[in-house]
Amino acid sequence: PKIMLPSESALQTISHYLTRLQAADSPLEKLEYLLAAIATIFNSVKTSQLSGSSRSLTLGADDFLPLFVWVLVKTNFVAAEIEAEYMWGLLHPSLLSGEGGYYLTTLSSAVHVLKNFKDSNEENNTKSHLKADSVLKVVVPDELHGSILTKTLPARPHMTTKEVCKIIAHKARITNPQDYALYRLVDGEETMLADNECPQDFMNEGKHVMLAYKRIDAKIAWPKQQQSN
Amino acid sequence: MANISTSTNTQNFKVVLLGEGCVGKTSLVLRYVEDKFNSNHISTVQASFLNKKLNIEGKRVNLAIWDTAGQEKFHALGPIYYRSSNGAVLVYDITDEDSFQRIKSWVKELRKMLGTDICLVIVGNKTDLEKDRHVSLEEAETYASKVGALHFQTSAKLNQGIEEMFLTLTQKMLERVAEQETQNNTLTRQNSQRRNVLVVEDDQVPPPPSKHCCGSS
Repeated sequence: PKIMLPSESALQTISHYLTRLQAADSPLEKLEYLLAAIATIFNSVKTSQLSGSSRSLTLGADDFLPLFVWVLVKTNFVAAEIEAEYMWGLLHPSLLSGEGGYYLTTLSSAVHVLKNFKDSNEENNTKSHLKADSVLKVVVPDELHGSILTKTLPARPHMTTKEVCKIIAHKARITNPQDYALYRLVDGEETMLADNECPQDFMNEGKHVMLAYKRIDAKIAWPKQQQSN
Repeated sequence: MANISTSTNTQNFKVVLLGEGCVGKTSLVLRYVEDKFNSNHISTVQASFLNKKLNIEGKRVNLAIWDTAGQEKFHALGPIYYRSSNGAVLVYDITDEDSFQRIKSWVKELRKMLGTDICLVIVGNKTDLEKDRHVSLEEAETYASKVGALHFQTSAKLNQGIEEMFLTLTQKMLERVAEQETQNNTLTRQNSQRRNVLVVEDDQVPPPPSKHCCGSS
């Protein structure tokens, strides 16, 4: 059966309890506000079938947990984790096997779900794409010491090679940037990038592509990557 | 709520309900404690956490039944719920082979995390759909006895086998407690279950943050 989410006014009541929860000092008082908020959720959820008034809606954990996660997001209860920890740490253990313990567990579970939300939606989440886009990793050979450094820089969308070069030159303290260029590395093979190319574009293609910033005349024996996949 | 640690003669047990979504674990437990509810309940019935009081051979028992979200994506939450449980009811749907396989992974995990401290009962629900059965009774019973679990078949719809299942589980949990008490009189289960209470003196360095109660991710 489809369920109807709590109304705006119900959310306000819930939010009010959660605010009072945060204002309280006693862990027991906090728990009471948590239970009051939960009772409000239960009382505000209805079945969407108007005809089924005789059939009451049963909310088991399968439905309640996702609903509770939704409520936490809607009420913007960002202190949920620290509040839960506070109660776990200070409430008497005998209270934790009962209803209070159950809903405190539900609160911790909801926090867990939210903290891991990104991972579970990796595939079609634009947010995670943005995240992958927001930094660029560039390898910079250090010719003096014969080593390779990796520089991570913040990147705006559609940054050009020219802009990227400027940032790295600054970061790596290169005084003669005119002698340097940005290269694309695929299996040890270098391709110099033109000023107006956009390095982020091919970084997202998923192949083993790396960016390297080096002196144009420098000859570097790049390690070849195994093409296992 | 009665205090576990005092000498009231009520025995408190925590029972966790595990099983895939849609196997009917919520209906099962609701059926069991239904007499607590008014059938013409106007508001939503809270069936996530339920208490059931029993009287077995003069012993008063209170079962705290913890429902869990069965969806696969919530699997990682298991340990937060089954921590310090006395019993677990693992429900599968007899018409759904996958739900039975899911039980097996729960059994493995529970035995690994809690050993034999926890009493397991495997429950094949929806016997009213016998014609669509995909998990044979024989297979399920063989598996249950192999892992030291009880096995029952129930129908939440027809109210069959449920009372008996919970009763047997409770008896088993009582036996387990009695065993543990004779085994070790000083360190009873209840004591080991209690979380440490740290007393901080004013001029003492604060103790390291208490262990994360809801388990690791």
